[in-house]
Amino acid sequence: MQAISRVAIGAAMLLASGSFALIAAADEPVAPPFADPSKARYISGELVYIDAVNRRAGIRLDGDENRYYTGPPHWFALLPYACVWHHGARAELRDLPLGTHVHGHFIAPPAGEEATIPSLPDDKQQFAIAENHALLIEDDFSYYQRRGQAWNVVSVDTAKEKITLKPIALPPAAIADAPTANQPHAVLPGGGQAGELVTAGINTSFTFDIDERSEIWQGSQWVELSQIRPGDSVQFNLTWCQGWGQGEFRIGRLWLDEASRTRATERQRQRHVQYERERWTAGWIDHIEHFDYGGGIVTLTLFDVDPQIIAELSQDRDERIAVAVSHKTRRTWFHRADRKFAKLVEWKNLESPPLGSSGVQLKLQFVELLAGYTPGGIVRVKAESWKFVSMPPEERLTSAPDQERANRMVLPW
Amino acid sequence: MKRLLPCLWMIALIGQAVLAVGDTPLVAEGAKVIKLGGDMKFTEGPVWLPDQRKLIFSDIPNSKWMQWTEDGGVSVYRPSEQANGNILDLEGRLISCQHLARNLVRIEQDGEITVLADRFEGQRFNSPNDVAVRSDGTLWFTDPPWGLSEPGELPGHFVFKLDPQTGKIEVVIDNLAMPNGIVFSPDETRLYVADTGGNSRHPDPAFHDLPPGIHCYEVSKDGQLGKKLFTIPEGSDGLKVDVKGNLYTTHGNVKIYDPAGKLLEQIDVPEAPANLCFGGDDYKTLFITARTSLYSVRMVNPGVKTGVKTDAKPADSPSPAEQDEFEVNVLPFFNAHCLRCHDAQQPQGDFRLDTLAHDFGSQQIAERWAEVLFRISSGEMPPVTEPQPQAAELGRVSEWISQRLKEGEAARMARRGPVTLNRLSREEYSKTVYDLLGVHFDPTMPGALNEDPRWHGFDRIGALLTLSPSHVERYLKAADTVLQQAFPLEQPSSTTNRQSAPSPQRWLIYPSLLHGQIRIPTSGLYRIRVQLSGLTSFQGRLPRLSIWNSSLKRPEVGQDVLAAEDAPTVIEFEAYLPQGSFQLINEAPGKLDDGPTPGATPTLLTRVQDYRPNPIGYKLFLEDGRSIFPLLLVDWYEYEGPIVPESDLRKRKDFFPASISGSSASDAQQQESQRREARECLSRFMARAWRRPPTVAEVDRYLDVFDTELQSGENPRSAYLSAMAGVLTSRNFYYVVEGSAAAQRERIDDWELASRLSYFLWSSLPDDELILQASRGELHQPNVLQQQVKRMLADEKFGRFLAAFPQQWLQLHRVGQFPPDPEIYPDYDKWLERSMVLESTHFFSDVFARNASLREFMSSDWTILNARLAMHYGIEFPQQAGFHRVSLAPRDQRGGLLTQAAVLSLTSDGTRHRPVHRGVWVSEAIFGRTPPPPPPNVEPLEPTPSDKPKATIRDQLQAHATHAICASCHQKIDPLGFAFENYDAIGRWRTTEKVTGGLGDDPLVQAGGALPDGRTYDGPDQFKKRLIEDLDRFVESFIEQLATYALRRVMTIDDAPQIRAIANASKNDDYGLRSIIQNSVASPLFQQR
Repeated sequence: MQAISRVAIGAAMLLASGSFALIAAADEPVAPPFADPSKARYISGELVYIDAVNRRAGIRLDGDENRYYTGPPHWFALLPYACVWHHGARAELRDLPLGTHVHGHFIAPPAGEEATIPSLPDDKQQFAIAENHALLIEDDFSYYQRRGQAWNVVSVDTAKEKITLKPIALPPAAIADAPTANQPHAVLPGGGQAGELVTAGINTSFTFDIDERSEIWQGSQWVELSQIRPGDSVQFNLTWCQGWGQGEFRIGRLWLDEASRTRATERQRQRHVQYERERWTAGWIDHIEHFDYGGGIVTLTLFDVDPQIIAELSQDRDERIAVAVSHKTRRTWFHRADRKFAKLVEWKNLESPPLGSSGVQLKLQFVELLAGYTPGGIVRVKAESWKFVSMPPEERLTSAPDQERANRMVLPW
Repeated sequence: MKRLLPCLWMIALIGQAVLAVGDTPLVAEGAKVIKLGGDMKFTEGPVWLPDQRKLIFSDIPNSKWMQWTEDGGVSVYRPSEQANGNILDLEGRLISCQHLARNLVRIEQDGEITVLADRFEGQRFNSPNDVAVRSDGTLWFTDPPWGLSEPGELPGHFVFKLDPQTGKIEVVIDNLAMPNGIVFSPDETRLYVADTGGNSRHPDPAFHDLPPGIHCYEVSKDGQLGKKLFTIPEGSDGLKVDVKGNLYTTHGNVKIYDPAGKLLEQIDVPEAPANLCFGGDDYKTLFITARTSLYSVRMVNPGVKTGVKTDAKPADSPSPAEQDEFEVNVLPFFNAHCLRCHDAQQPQGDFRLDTLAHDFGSQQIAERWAEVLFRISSGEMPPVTEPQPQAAELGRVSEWISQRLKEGEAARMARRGPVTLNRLSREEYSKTVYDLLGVHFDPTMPGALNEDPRWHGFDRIGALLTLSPSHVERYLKAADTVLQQAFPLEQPSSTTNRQSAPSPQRWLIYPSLLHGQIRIPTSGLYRIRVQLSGLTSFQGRLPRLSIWNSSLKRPEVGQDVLAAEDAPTVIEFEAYLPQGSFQLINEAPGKLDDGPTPGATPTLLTRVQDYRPNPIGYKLFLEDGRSIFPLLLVDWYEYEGPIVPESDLRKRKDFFPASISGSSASDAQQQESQRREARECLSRFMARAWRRPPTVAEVDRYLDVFDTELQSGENPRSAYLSAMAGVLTSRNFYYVVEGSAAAQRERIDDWELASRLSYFLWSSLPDDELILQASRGELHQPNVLQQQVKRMLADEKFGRFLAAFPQQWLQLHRVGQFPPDPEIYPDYDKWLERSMVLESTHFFSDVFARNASLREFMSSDWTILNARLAMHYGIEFPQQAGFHRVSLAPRDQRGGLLTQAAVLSLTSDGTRHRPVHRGVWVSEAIFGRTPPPPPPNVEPLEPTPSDKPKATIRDQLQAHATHAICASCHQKIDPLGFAFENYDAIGRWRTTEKVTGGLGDDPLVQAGGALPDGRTYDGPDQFKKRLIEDLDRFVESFIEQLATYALRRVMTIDDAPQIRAIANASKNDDYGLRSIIQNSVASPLFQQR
């Protein structure tokens, strides 16, 4: 993890504690940088707990029998700019059903975030994993597909409820989505180059459990097990089975053809776009030039988001842009009211943005600044054409104690 | 006033039948009879008012005086009692014969009507019909019974002669049947009287069958009627004469006779004419009242004027010698150099020289000749593109005009009425009330006093300060308010209230936040104390604590605060506060009041370092802990009052009888004693309030009010206050009266001098010392006057002049009139705006205090700034509250008045600077000349198109003003504004001009140019140097402005020599400001009516 300036520490403390601490004067306060994905730790497992509101979860790790029987899930928080992928499209944690097997890339908590995920009890300390802040979470579908790996059906035995799949490397043209600059498989551990099998995850023939609970998708239909044919090129999302501790999985969902996979991806993409419009797209503040008569010029970077959101924002760039104060959990207060409008001064497209960044940096001029506009502070940005929608009350932060509570995860068990 | 007709006067060209009998037509070539208005009942008695360029005439059955102007057409002037014939007396006042009232009246300058006569030897007139005025001031009028509906009291239908000075009235003609129109010949050796002929209404049957006729009588030099010379056997209604002595009659049509009675010409009019008069600037327009309408036709000869005290020969008629000189020396010059552009064909600038009358006795016409003289003498005319005159011929023309102007001066002066009434401005009213009674009356409060109209910034020009029913109503209300405060039933007791923050916490007040509640139950003087710290913004801006009036949304008083967080200070204000609710406010720029954010912003803290911001509240601190905004941290505030200082109580103590209370007198003796004391107090009060001793009759009049109120059941206190209210609502209080009706004076007397002096230097009434000098009749003596002036300049009340005069002269009321757009100028705030104005007034005060030269108004190496303004200018300034003198370096780009932010911004329109308006301002404030207004329908400047390179406003203006009509004015005005292109709309220095739209970078400004006289300049500093080269001219202009302020009127060419004399006298002191003021008072101009 890169060194972060003292000012950033101060800013983060502000976010974390909700209290103001005098920070030594800095020349140009800047937002903390995005984490270096090459230093992230690969951890996979099944989602056993999701706190969708605060973007935190717990996964049961793959294949560690001792941990399976005696250890706790790995509790983690998503970084504010963390990416979640589901069915090959961007998503939120809330979009992933409980029981989905995911592949994650994690880093140790940034400075000031050490207390976000509570320590394990003393008797469980041996299971503690330092890397408890996720940079990227992907389901199997997204993980394998974006890395250019699919599966061939070798055999299906419906009586024994088993299916054997063999990994195949997809040709480069078949790799879906993601702009060139944001192909995590190229920089993340376990990811290979296009046309090669993954180095983390499952990269050999494997036999999985499959039964009537497994959702089989073909085209736009949910079909029977009997529809699976050897030779089909499929993608799957795995889930728990009894042999988990021995590294066994059950097929949770299976997509038999390209049409079903495309459909699933598009459906998830639409869900993500609508989510972003209602909750406004997230970013953080890089820099503020304050005016002592009110307002200032705020430079902010938008986090990774579907290109359609960027396009809509760009279309409305000459209109007023609303910016609501947010939180590391990306929650807002009552963002319909607790926002200020700004005029665009400059729109910059950054070259080769890091993982988590959309590559879009905006310079906005405000007449009034909210206290939550601080370098490194999370904000949510709205295009003028998006309708105001009030969020469900449980998503809103309502007070300083509420913010305090949101700063830390409470372990469910 | 109700208009009978739409705004545009109806013109109906009517086919004119003119029968010329004589050799030379008298109707102007090509002229037609034009209908100016109709739909009246019976029009009569037209008379031309030259100073107002207005015709007054009667609509008899409708009981109205009507008026016509070129711009406004026909409308109602005022109601009458069936006025008929009208004329102007020698003082220019309207004299009228009224049918219904059966009298002869005069309308005074202030609009009041004086009945001059309504009976002869105890018997009422029939119904006076028409009137003529003689040069000795006597009024000759006819008295037929046309307006009489009952038998008359007099034994005949006479022609009377009235002397308004003495009131003596005599019959001059007693043997006419129905005398009607009446007029003197131009040399007053003849009197013409029309008789419409025998009528059975005459009490003497011998008159029943007399034939009609127009009789011509001899008149002696001393005004005695002589024998009849001849009779024209025609009837007539109204009569008039032209300068040649031709007689104009009205009977069926207009007939014109020569002085011998020979018919020369007839003019047909669509309706039968009843009367006529000459008017227009050159008196060649013949106005004809004919039944239901008003007509006009242009004539060759001008008519004889009335209302001018001159020799028998009319003033506008040049003598043969004068006419020769004009034709020999002046007319050829005009033909060669002027008339091509200034005649009927294409009058450039709407100025016609061919019809400019030679009536140098008319102020208006004389001013136009003065303008001609100025233009040709200064080289402005003829334009450089035209052939230029020789020096000798120019000299002859200038000499001729100057001579005529000089000769006409007496006539112009004589035209002015014997009494001048100038209403006090509302600011003067307020100061007068304070000095009189020790009561603060804020005239700007809603519903208090009407705002006064301004003339180029001056709000005390008597001619503009009219009186309307609204004014009177407000004076009544003001008098009540003031007296209730001065003499309350019970003196309100002073209380102290304190509010404290919950210790150890302090209230945090960020910009625009209103805090607390100060309830003022009674208007009065209050003392407010606040303990607080004031933290500067991270850019060094000071916070300002002000007391905010919640209902009027304005600060009443305030102060910059600089006190460290751990070293709070206590500041104290003493201010007059009206009844109402007030709050504390931090008056720094920044409008922090959007939506729920103020409610989410914590405003209590113990220490700044412990402040816990709410993320959805305002951001008040930087990440490093410094305050973003100027902040106030308040511990407590308290307010005490109302306070009534002893000095204020002393002012009023002699005006209210000690023996009078709210209870009635117990017995007759007490009543008598009260009355006696009431008279004494009232007398003192009136003398003080009216600035002169009242007459016994005047005191009696107000004492009657006291008596009447008592009789109607009021208690003595209320009754006496009613009398006092009467004094304060008398015109003698709110008007400055100069002159007397009895005699025309050219100088003011000592009482008037005391008032003029005190209103000039103190904006208020004279104090005891001045009154003493006035009562001794010594104030006008030079050494006494000088001593008094010295004393008054040292008095603290002189501060009122130091605040008021520069505000008016420099038109500082315009600062902020177009509020700068907050999007373009986000850090412009109201305190900055006020600071700008204060810089200029403080600057003026400093120049006065040192008796520094007026040169420093043009350029200086110092100015007076506060922190806010220093920040605006980008000038280094130590962190301190209040205004301080600072030295300026050349890099500061300031110095003098012209580059002060107030002056630079008052001409802006809220978005951009306006160089032409700046030029106009310089022309008015510095050179005392107002350029002509633009013609109508001038296209506005368009914004730069997006596909064209960015252009400055100057570039656009120069492209815009290429049309010849535009260029002629713009080349004189624009250079005066282009000198300041380096200053933006709110007076900040710049080198490029921000242009929205267009291609390329913002263009560089260009601040060079050439003055109308050819001298060039490059930038504001050089421009200032050019002005200093012409310092004499500026000084004279300044003195003119000072005199306008002091004398409450616009200066004329007649004042120019005296103004020059004051300037010359002040040259010895290098035109020191103090010296100029003293010399102005010492000048004869100051004591001139």
